[in-house]
Amino acid sequence: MTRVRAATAGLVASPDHALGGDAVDRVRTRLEVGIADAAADLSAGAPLEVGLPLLRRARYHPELLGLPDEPFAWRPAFVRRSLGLEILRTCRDRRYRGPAAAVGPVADHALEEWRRTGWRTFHWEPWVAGLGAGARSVVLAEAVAWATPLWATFDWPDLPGTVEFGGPDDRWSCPGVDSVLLKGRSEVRLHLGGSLRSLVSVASGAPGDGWRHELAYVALVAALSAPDRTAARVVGLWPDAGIRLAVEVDEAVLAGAVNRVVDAVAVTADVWASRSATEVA
Amino acid sequence: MTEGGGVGGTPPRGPEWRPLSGPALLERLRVTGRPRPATDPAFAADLRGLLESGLQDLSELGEPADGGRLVVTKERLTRVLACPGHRTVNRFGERSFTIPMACGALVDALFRQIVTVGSVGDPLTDALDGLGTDERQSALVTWIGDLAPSDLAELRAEVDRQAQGLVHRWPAFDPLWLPRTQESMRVVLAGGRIELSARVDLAIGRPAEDESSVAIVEVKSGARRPAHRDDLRFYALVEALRSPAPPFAVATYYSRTGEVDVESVTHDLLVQAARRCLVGTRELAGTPSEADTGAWCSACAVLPRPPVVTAPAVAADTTVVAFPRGQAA
Repeated sequence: MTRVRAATAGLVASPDHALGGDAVDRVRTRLEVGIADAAADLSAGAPLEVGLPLLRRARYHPELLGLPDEPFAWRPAFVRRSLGLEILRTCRDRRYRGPAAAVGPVADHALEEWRRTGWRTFHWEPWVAGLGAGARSVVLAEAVAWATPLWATFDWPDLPGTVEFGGPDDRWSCPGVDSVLLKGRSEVRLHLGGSLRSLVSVASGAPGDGWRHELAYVALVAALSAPDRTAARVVGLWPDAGIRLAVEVDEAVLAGAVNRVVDAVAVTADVWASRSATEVA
Repeated sequence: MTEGGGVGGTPPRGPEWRPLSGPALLERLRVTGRPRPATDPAFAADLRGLLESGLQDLSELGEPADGGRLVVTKERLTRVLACPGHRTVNRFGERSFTIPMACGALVDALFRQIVTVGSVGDPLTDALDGLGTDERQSALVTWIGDLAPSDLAELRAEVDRQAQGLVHRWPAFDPLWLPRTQESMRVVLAGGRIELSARVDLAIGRPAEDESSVAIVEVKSGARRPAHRDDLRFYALVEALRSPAPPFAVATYYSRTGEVDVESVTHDLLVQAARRCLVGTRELAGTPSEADTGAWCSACAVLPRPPVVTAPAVAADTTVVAFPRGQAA
């Protein structure tokens, strides 16, 4: 079996077991208790958005948690995911023969729609519209470079069921600790039938030793935000490193993600507390 | 025409020589004259094993900026492997900007634009516009903006000339070739303490299944240098370690002349690249092997005497293939 066929088969395989509603309830309870404990030291009202970047920073670079966020400014890297996903969607619909052929028409169409309706489907339309030819080509090139490895990993046209590219992030707010918000992001959601889904998560660089919990985190937030539509598995792709890994989701896997979240919240609270102390001093 | 094992370069330039263009240029990249390497998991494991066994004693490496991980790039390897003589006179690691350096960055941006959209407006304007999206290039962009009119005119003339050549010679790629620019490639070694990192100007071909199917192209705006082949071989090594098969070819395209230097990727080439990488990585880590790192100095390859490996600890059976004389401009 070729690599593409193996990857595709792994994505659509029937799960070994279903994650029951009881399991999700138990995981949720454990998470709520853990976050309430870990967040006790968070400054009152200070919002904490948990996502994969925070989980990774807390584990590998906690010193960065104390740094203020840079003000947002559009860059090609912020466009490549959403444009790349739209490229994939059109390629799967067999409208183009590959990402390189799709990127120009897809970007042009997005800008035309924005000009015609004023609606920003991707948010970046006004920024891209104002770019010169050189900068715009960088945006397109980045999107092609992002989309191509993903396009080459699976046999997209032959995937059964509904394939959802991108879409809104999964979100879950911790009851009792309103300041903590969990956000989960999947690049692809493949609806397997019934309530089950396979999720695909793409990351840059190479996987660290905590990759299993990071993929499980994606499934955790998906399960918390829509308990009736849980993920059977999460497939992680690290195109830079040529690595594809997957976790089959069960209660133990989600519990591992819960621990990782609680650790990250605790580490963040510590770093913030020491930063506040330094500022006071 | 060919130098070393499996090396297929551009024929010597005579008065009738013309740069390849259009389909002929793509065919030169696609057909190397050698069979494409088959996917060989055992060889790939050996290649990785060569590096892992040579690095296993290293620990606690890298600067905090690297996240505790020593990041090994082609530039760092070339710099650290330069012999003491060339380390003092070579241009690697040079901090101050020069017109040739600026030209290289601008041409890289234009090549990416041409591959992606197939056209260029005013070359200097477009290239600066493209570079302006990368904050790491902001100092260079500022430097170019501050050039004296005569220097800027010189830069513009050369960028215009090279852009014209790129547009005329490089045809559009079939989208099924999956062309992608500035592709990032990474391989983690030694339990995460070492990362080989590369970013290639152009990669074409689907990821390998049964045999190699990827070719890598690097664009250079200046003259040929021996180090360019070492760079390509490093790319081949990284791709071989991260993919089921190595690239079947690595090539440097010289935008100043239109020459293309294509090298077939063989097992020998990869082993050679791995040994060089191993020696350089240990040197970067501050724990050099007993091998004479000067023996891997790219600049020495243009000297009348080929480099010699003097210490056998790491590269006991290394056969150094001297870079062909007369290749460096």
